[in-house]
Amino acid sequence: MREREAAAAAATTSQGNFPKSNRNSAIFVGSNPQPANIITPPASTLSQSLSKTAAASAALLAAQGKTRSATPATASPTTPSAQHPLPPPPPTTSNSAGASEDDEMIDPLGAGDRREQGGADGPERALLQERERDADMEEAVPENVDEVAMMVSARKKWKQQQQQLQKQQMAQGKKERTAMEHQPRMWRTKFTLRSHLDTVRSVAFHSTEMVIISGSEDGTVKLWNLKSSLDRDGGVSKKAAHQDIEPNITYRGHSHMVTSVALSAEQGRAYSASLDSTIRVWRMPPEGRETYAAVDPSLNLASYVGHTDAIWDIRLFPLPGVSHLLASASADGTIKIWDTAAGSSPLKNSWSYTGVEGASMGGVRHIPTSLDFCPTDLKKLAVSYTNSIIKVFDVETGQVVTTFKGDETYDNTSATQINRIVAHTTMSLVISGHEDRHIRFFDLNSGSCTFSMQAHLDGVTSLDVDPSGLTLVSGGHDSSIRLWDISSSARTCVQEFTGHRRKGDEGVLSVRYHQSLPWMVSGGADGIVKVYQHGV
Amino acid sequence: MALEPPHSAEETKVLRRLLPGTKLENSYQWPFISLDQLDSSFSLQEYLQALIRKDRENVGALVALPPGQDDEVWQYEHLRQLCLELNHFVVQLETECNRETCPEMKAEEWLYLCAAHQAPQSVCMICPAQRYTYHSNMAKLVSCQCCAIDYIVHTLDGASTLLNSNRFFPSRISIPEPSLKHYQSIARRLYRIFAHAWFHHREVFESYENESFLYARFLHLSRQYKLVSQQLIIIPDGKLSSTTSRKVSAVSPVMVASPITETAPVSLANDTRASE
Repeated sequence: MREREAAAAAATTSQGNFPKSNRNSAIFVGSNPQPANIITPPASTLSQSLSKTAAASAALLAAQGKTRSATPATASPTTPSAQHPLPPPPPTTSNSAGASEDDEMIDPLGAGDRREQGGADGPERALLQERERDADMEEAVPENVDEVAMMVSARKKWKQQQQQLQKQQMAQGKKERTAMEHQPRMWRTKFTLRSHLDTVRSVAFHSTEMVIISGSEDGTVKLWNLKSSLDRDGGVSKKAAHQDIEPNITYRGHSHMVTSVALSAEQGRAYSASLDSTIRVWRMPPEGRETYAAVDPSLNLASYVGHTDAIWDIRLFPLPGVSHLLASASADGTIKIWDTAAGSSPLKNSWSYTGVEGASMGGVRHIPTSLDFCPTDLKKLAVSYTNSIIKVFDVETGQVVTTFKGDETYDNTSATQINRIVAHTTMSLVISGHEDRHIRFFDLNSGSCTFSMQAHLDGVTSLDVDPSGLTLVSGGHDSSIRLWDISSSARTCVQEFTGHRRKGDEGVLSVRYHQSLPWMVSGGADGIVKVYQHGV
Repeated sequence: MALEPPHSAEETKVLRRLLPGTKLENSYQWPFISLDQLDSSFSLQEYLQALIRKDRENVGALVALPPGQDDEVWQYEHLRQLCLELNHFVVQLETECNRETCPEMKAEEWLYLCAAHQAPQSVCMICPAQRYTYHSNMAKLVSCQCCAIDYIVHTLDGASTLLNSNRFFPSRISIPEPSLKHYQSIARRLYRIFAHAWFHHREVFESYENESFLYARFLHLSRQYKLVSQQLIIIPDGKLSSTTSRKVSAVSPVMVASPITETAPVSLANDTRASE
């Protein structure tokens, strides 16, 4: 798939989905007319040698096939020097830096600043590429040595200039970085939390603090308080970097694997859903509880019984000040709404595919796979189904409001179903992740699909929108976690990294953003919970 | 990026994948795959789980080392799987085992002291009975001895942490030699969970055992790899009692075990001595 992608992109020119590489080459040449002038290789011999190099590095790319942005879609026709194959950027490290240069970025903060910043990043990146390009040149021995020598010396000159320029801009750039909150920096792994004995199916953050909850196929729910592992600046403390972190508490109660977890900071509660068809409510332990403190049965608050088959997704109402509703989607075909503030009978409503009216229908044909409250219209609950249809229901009445045709590629098998949906925090947008690798964007009001992309190399399992609403994170069975700039019309991939190793045919299973801190968490088939920090 | 329809031959094979929306009865319904066809980093775990799903009753087949595999890694996967399944057993136990019913971790005449604390061998200065331990911080002397359910949960949490420790078990392909000693201490403590349940919560034990055959598997594994010494096996067993005499102690011996937490792994070696 990657090879095909690379080949296709090389044959045509950039498809626009990865404009950053285009842009880079433009910076490389454009910001430096001098070397471009010197390197005028009219000699056909040179261009031959160059195309050889191109072929060699294309092969290299295909072999690597790791980095997405490795697409050599960079042959900008403007200058001959652009015929150099751009070597793959070092995996992930330079990705996000490059992304800041996206031309099509709709910058809510002021495009001017950003452009300058992009300029500062540009040379750094060009330099990196430069080094690798030199390496490439050595590999394929060119025929015309003189001209190459000329080129090399020109490049050295250019490098020196760039280094000077870089130094100047470094000083500037630092200031800008602190000034700009939305500077697309990089996600890096900071904690690797090991304690689960099997696949981690779901993770969630506390809304304000560095507290994580994880639910696993081993039947347990674990709560991790990382506050003591952070230093005063919010980074990882030296002590924590060298030791295994243990969960603060392990909740046991489900008789089958845990599929979905949620955390309510306001209620001080955790919720978990399981294949055992129950939802369990847990009280969060008091601050400072020791890992090996006495068992406290009072932490096990309640168990919501009502579903008659596996529950696959639960979601809390996004405004805890307004209500404490919890929605659940089960393989029994129903959506249930629970009032978690109610004492004895929490079940408020229940409906099937056709809504409340059609609840009396016979067999269950379409099963909900995922759901989300719509923060932009809190009366609405979006639900995805195994037939790739998304329905929006009225939370109060259980009636169908809109039906989205998400089944463009649906082939009547589960291989094309929707695995996960998420409603955008600020825009009227619902985003779906499909088993057939697609991510689709739907307008919440009209129900029309506004954008569709093949986003992963295998099924998409997890989605989340960052609190600013500018970035989407997705995880897939291809083990990768990808970040998408959804403020641009091209939905550029700004960073990609391997999240979790595969067990069976599963990879990454859950990715979530922290709602107020620059952290992200993921869980996957390797049974590990990983925590990432966004930073320079 | 060019939009290509999903295709390729891979799509036709059954994926070992639980898709959201899968019904309970359809979960894990993928064909049994032989070990050499499993190619993930967790192939041995997958294989063991597939064996268990296939026939959990045949403990001999479950424990038998698959040809060509490292027996240390195989034991490691078994111990992980035991802890995983004990999670579910504990849920059953918790329904009737609590601080009131079982204030001490006992099995028959044996009393076990929890190993999950900083200073387990110290004698409590406050409690008149000297067998009590005090917890790491004297100021927090809330409960100076773990009751049975505490012991069980702490043991399970500690074992899960240890088996997941990057320091002791950094790989699932080979086990560092110094870490092998932990197998026995983990197995010995897990055994006590079964023992307590058998002596004090027989119904729960039996109903779970009839379903899971977990104790039978554990016993088979322990014997095959000599993880738990024969003297410490106190649950009577038809076949067993005829061949070996069960050690019955007149005076209740105090089992003092050392921590299995990160802080004092070195002292694990003393454990065996202490319990005898």
